[in-house]
Amino acid sequence: MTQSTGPICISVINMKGGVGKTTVAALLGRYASIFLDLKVLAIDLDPQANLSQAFMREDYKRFLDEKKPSVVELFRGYIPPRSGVPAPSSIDLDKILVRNTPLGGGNLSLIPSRFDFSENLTDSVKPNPQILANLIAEEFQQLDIVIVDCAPTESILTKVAYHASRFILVPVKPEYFATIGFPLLKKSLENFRNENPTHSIDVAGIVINNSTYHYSQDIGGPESRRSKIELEDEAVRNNWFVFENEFPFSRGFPKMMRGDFTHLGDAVLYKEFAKEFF
Amino acid sequence: MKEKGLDDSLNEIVHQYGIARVDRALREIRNSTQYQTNQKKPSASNSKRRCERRAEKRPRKRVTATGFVSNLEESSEVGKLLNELAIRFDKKEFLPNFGEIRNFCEIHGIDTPVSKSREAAVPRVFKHLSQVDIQDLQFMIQAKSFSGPTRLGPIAEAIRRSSKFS
Repeated sequence: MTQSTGPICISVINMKGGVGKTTVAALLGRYASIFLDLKVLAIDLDPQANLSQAFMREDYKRFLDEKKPSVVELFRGYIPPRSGVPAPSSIDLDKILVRNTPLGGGNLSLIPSRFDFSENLTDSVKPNPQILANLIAEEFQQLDIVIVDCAPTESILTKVAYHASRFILVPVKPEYFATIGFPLLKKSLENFRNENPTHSIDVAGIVINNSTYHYSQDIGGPESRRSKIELEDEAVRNNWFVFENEFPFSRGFPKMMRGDFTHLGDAVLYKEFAKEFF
Repeated sequence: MKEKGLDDSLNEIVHQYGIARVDRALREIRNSTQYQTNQKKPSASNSKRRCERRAEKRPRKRVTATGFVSNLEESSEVGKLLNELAIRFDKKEFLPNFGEIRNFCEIHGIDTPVSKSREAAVPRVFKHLSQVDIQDLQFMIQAKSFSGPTRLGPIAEAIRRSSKFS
């Protein structure tokens, strides 16, 4: 799957929060790195930094304590003065990338995020939305896959992700409010395409998360079924593919994100989706 | 007389399910008709169990990670790092439960041990570690990777500290 034309860049996006963007991004990265032996870069564009916490576990604490550089410094374009370094210094990607994490294995590198990311963006001059696209073009052509985990609101970070991506993956839950994220995403993508007519960006597909099917039995009730039908209808109208393999409801997912691999239950079924996706 | 194997297994179960659930489950087993019948009738399986217990009483050599690592012929630098990880393994600071061992095996492409005991995984894990790059061993030690599930407290504390500085 190595690309002679550079990595395949995928952003995991939904304007609605809590639909499983981080879980899907983390587990796709894990699958590609460990089971497909692909070189993966995971980028955490969410100021809540959940993707970073999932990959780094309690080492995220050390990352904060030692004030290590993150995506915040990438956007600033320099490393600020700190103890022992009396002047701003240039970005050293090797110092930003986090490798060999217990969730991602040896083939995955992470650009971590920090909770002050949004404050930094608000306080600064509007950042260049092509910053990530430039970085990938210059530094990461040897990789196979780049996965971007996006924040759950439309902001400059959404544009940053669009500019860096060839494909969009949309996790969604079969719930009424989650379905409303669909038309918002469609509008946002159309705006981007109109502004950037030479950029090809497509929805790779919709992945249904927290599926109410449990061992082939639908336990979600009529509301969940209704939302799912609406989701599928909307996807067809937009010409968006819906992946056959869903993320089932499982308590194993939050356990994995915490780094607890005992009794994962149906959460191991994420591999079926990952196989279909790749 | 305390039985080490039983203690280890119970500790792991209590850690996973909580003492109240384990206690309740034990009481249910004790009160079940099946258990009481088995207790009353000396059977062939009971005598087999007695034989097994006798066999268990024979002194068994316990495999520790530090013991295993000391038998590996490694260069002084690798040996030192392996020993550091072995000490942490024996203290349950490195790969503290079987779930961690399963994940470790998965991401390093080695077969998961059939037995769910940490002790049984020692040869497989440390033989693999002896072939890992020095930098990766150093990273595992420095970053405290594979040290178990995350807890909210330390990260929440680090976020508070970090906000105070800025």
